[in-house]
Amino acid sequence: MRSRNEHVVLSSRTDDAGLLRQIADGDERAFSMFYREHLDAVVAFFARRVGDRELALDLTAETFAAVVIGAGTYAGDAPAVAWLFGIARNKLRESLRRDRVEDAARRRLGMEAILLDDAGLEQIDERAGRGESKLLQTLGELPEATRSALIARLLEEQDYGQIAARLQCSEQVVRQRVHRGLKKLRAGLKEES
Amino acid sequence: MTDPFEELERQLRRAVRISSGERSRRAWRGHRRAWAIVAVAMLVASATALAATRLVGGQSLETQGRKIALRAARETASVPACLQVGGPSTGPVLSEGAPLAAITVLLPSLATPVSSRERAATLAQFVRARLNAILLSRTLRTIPVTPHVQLLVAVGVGESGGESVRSPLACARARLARAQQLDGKRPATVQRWARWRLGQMRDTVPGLQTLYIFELPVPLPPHVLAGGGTADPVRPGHALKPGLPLVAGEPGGARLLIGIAARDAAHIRLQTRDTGAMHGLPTQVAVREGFYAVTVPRGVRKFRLIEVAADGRMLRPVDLRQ
Repeated sequence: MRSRNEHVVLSSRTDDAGLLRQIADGDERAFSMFYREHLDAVVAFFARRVGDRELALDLTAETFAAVVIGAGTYAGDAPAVAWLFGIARNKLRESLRRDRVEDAARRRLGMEAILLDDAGLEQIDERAGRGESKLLQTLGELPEATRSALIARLLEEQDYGQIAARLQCSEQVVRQRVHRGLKKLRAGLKEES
Repeated sequence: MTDPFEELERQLRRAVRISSGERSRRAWRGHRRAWAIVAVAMLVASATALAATRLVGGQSLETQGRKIALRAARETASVPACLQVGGPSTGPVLSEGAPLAAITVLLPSLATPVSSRERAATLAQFVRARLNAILLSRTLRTIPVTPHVQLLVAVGVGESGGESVRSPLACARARLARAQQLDGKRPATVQRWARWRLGQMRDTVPGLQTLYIFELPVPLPPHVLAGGGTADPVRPGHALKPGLPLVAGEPGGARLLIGIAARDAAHIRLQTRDTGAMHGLPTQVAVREGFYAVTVPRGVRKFRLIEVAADGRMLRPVDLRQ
């Protein structure tokens, strides 16, 4: 099972919890801030996993629609970004299980389907690339051993056992490296902001 | 076309605004007596349920939207941009041109022409199979996937049969305009379904190509024109997906599955928990130019195909049942 803190590294520059409260109160601008802050990372998350740009856009739309519906239910006991990626993972899981993209949240909000042309597809690629490069750039500043463990865990979604076998160390060491790496990344991002 | 992410943001901002209004109304109701809350909630729930599946004149909103789209297509059929450009009616014809990247991303070999002799032999088989289509010459080939099965493969221009409208974009606009005239006074949901259905019409997709796959028994019995065949339309920018485009019946109740493998897959491993049924099911088959074929004997109910890379990495497990 993935740690809920893993996605914190993708972004923690804004007061996401505050934005979610404002979204629940109907503040459109707060939504735009939250959306623009996390959009690239969410698109990258789906694009990497489904390998289909149109499907990645659909899942992104469904995830943010669920954010609009559920912003008022965010309890604040976990990082808001972990909550966001929890929604994304659920949408992905449901989509794979049912072999179709769920559109319940979008239908509930009365949203229209978004038509895509080639330029739109390219934009999905661009955003997915930016979402990943943002993370990779920060990862690049970490020591090699920590970076390898984090990439295997975060981007390749390998089990701790698999990573340990690959890096020829114990599972406990891998867990420590991932934990320390996440801590450093969070600290780095805070300094940057 | 606008930026899809800006469009998404615009729609979501509107949803934030509207759902906030709904929450305010719910809060106001919260001050009323309990029975009133229950009554209003029941009313709201009923109205929501009714709105979701509303029937007008015995038809759902979706059906109404779809019918408007079909009517719009029918009523614009004589518009010059929407006139049908017919494909061949007496067999395949050849055309120059390259297959879409959306196809070659998974089947890269289709971008490289085979020898003229092999091309001619494949074309002869398509003629024998009486395929009416405009085929891209360089994509024609025969791929032996097992000692007993070979595939005839080609990419065609336009939809299956090669038919398309004269000017896809202009025709799409004409249909949309007609649909807007027809659904102007209908609920927004009906209009959305109409637009969705129009977007699904493949004859207005510029650059659409079709992947033709025919399976051919080896040796081909003299009385058989060809084995089973399939035609998969591929839109530009919408990558072809790995999967099983063709399933054919075999003697003795077995089934022949023809698959397109994931990129980098070198072979397919097969597993079933039904040990009795493993008899006759191959444990592994090779991927040839992106394709594979598996004969699943009668009696095998649940099984798993695992796509494996040349270095042994497992790429994608697919659970199947028949």
